Amino acid sequence: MKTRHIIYVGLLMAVLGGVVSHLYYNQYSSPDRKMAPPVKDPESLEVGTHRPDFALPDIEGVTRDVGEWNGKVLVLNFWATWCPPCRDEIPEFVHLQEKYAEQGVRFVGIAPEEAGPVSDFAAEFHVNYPLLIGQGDVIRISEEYGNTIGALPYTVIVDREGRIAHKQRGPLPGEKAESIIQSLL
Amino acid sequence: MCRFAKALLAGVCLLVLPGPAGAGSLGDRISGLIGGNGPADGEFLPPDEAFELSAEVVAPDRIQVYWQIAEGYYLYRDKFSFEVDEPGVTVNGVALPEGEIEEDPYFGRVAINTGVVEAGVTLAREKQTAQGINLAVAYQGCKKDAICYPPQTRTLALALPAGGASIPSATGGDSATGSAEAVTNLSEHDRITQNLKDESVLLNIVVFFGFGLLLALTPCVFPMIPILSGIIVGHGRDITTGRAFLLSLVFVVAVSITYAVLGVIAGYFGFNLQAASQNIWVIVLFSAVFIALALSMFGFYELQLPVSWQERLNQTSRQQKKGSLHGAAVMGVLSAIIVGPCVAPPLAGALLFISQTGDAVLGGLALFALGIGMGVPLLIIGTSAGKLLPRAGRWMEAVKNVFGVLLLGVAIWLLGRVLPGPVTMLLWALLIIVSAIYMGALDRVESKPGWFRLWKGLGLAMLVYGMTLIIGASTGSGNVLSPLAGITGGGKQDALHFTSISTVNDLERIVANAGRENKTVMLDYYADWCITCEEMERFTFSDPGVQAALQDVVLVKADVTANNDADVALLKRFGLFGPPAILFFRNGEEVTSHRLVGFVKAADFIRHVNQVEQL
Repeated sequence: MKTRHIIYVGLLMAVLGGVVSHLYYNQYSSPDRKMAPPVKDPESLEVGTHRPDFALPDIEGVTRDVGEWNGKVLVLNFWATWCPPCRDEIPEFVHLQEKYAEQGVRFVGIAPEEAGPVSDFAAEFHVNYPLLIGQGDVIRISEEYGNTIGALPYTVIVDREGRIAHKQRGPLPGEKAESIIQSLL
Repeated sequence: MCRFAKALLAGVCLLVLPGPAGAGSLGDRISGLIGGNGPADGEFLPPDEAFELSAEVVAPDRIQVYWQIAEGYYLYRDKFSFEVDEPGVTVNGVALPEGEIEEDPYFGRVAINTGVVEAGVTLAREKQTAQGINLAVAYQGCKKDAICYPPQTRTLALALPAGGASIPSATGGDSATGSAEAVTNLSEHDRITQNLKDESVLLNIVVFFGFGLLLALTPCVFPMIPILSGIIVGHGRDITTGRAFLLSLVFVVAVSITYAVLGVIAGYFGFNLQAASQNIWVIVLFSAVFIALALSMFGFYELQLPVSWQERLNQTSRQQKKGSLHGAAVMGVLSAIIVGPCVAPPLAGALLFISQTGDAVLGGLALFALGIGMGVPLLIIGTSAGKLLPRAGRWMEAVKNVFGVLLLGVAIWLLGRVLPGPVTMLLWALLIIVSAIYMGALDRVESKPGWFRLWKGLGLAMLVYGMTLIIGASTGSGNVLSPLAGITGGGKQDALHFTSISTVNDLERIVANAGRENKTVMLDYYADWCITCEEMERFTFSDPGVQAALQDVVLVKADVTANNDADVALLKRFGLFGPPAILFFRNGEEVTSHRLVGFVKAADFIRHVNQVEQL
C-alpha cells in the first residue's frame, strides 16, 4: 500500500509540474496574441489637427459635404444598425442635438450600410440629425479620423474652427459628450 | 484502484481535456486568467486579435477553420461565409457549432458564438491532384456592450492533398498553443512519415527482439527458465529433442502472440504524439510515467500485477497437462499475462511507446518480436538441457538497471520536445555520466577480471561524451550529436545576415532576382513583441547546422514591429495575421507548402530548408 501511495504522489507532483510549466510556457511562448503592441493613437490625427474632408450621400440620396457644417461644433458619430452598442447611444445623441441645436451644435451619423435599414431606424427613433451612408468608404473615412481598429461606434468631436477636439473609441457616455460640447460652445 | 488514485486521475482529466461548449480545457482557462487575456479594460482589440483565425486541412476535401475569440467578444453565427475562388473547387457544406441565443432588442433572437469556434468546411473538387487554393473566410462580430466590427474577410492560402490521401498529422511546426497556423506542411510530413515508417518498422522489430532477449536475463525471469522448461516439457525418458523443442516453441509463440495482441491494442488506441505534443501536459505526464517505471527497475519499489491475480493465474497454469502441446500453449498465454516486477515496467514502457506511434501493425510486430526474444533462452534450454546458457548471478541486477536507464532515456527524449535544447542536452549528459560511473569508469581495475576493464573502458568513453554534452549545453548548443560545433567554429558564430525590406515591392524585386539566379529566398517576418521569433533567433538561427544549410539562401527580414501601412500590406500580401511566419520562394513565387508559422527546431529546420532547395 505504501509504495503505491509514493507512486501516486510522484505522479501528482509531475502533474503539478506540468501545470506550472504549462502556465509558464503559455505565457512566455504563446505568440503575439498577448504581446501585440497596444493600439496607439495614430500620428495622422492628433487632437488639434484640422479635420479631414469628405463627402457622402445621406439617406435621401443627397450628397453632403462635411464643409457644410463649418463653424459649428460637429459631432461625427460612426455607427451601424447592426451594432447594438451603437444603437444604444443614439437616443442620447438625439436628446443632446435637440438641446444644443440653437447654439450651433450639429450631430451627424455615418453608417457603412444601405439607406434602407438606416431610414427605418431613423423613423423609429426620430433621429433629428443628418444620417450619411456609404460602404467601404465609411470605414476608410473613420480610419482617417483615427479609428485604427475599424470598429464601431467611433465618435469624433470637431470644434468651430474645424480642429479635432476629441476622439472616442467605443460608446460615448452622454455626460462626457455634453461636457465636451459645452467646453466648445 | 483506491479512491485517492481515482480522484487524482479525475483531476488530471479535468485539467487536460477540453471543457464543455468548446471553451478550452480548464487548464487553458486558468492559464488564460493568470497569463492575462488581452489588454486592460477600456481598450479594444484589433479584429485579428479579438477573433484569431486559423485553418487546417484535415482531409483532401475538408478544411477545419478555427476562431479563438477573446473573452467578452462574440461572432454572429449567421454571418459566417466561406468561398473558394479556384476553378473546379466549391464549398458544398459547412458545419457550424450551435452557439448561444441572445435577445437583441432590435433584431430579436440572434445566435452568437463565443470562445473557440470550429467550423468544418467540406469541398467539392473536380481535380483529384494536389492543389493550392485560397479560402475566403468572412465573419462579423462585436465586443459585448462595447464595439462592433464591420464584416471581416480573410483569405487563407491552403494546400489540398491529392484526393484519397490521408494526412498523418496536419499541423506543422512545434508551436505550443493555438497560434494562427494557416498552412499545412503536407509534403514534408508525408515524406518524412513515410521514410520513418519504412526504415523504422524493421529497426523497431530488431530492437524489440533485442529487448526481449535482455528481459529474459533479468533476475526474476532468468532463474525460472530451467524450472519453466521442466514443467513444459515434462520429465519423461522418451521425450525426444525434437518434441522438447516443439513444446518450447509452442510456449514461446503463445507468449509472443499474447504480447502482440497487447501491442496491437496499444497501437490502435494510441494517438499521434506529434499532434498531442501541442499540449505540453501530455508530454510531461508521459515522461513522468516513464520515470516512475524506471525507478521501479532501480529497485525503489515494485510494480507488478496484484499478487492475488498472479496466484490465480499460477494455479490455472499448474493445472495444465504437462508435456502436451495444448498445455504448453495455455501456459504460454498465462505466462505472458503474469508479469512480474522485472518485466512489468519495461513492458508498460514498450506499450506506451507503441501507443504514441499510433501504429497497430507496428505494435503487433514489435511486441511479437519481444516475445520471441524473451523466449530464445527458453528454447535453448529446452533443447540443450541447460548446457548452453550462462549461470545466473549478480550480473542480472545490472540488466534491470540497464532497463531503468533505457526508460529514463525515453523520458528525456519525450521532454526534449518541450524543453530548450541546452536543457535537454544537460539531462542526457547527466544520464550518460551517472551510468558511466556505475559502469565503473572511475573504479580501479587492477585486481578484477577482464569484464570489468571492458565496462570501465566503455564507461570512460561515455563519461567523456557526457562531459562534451555539458560543455556544449553551456555554449547554448542544442545538438546532441555535435555539441561542440559552436566552439570549433572559432568562438562566437556569425549571426545570419538578413536583408531588411519594408515594402511589398522590395520583396518582389528580390524574389524576381533570386528566381533568375535559381536561388531560394527565405522571408522571415519579425516583430519585437513576437516571442516565437525570438526563440527562432536564439535556438534555430544560431545553430551552425542551420547557418550552413542557409548558405546559398537569400535571407530577407520584414520587421513589422511598427505595424504601419507598409507592414500591414506586407502581411496582407500573404494572408498573414502577424508574425511569426517564414516563407520560402523559388523561381519567383512562394512555395506555399513549405510555409512555417510556428517554432521549428534546428534539426527539423535544416531538413525543411534542404527540401525547399531541392525543389
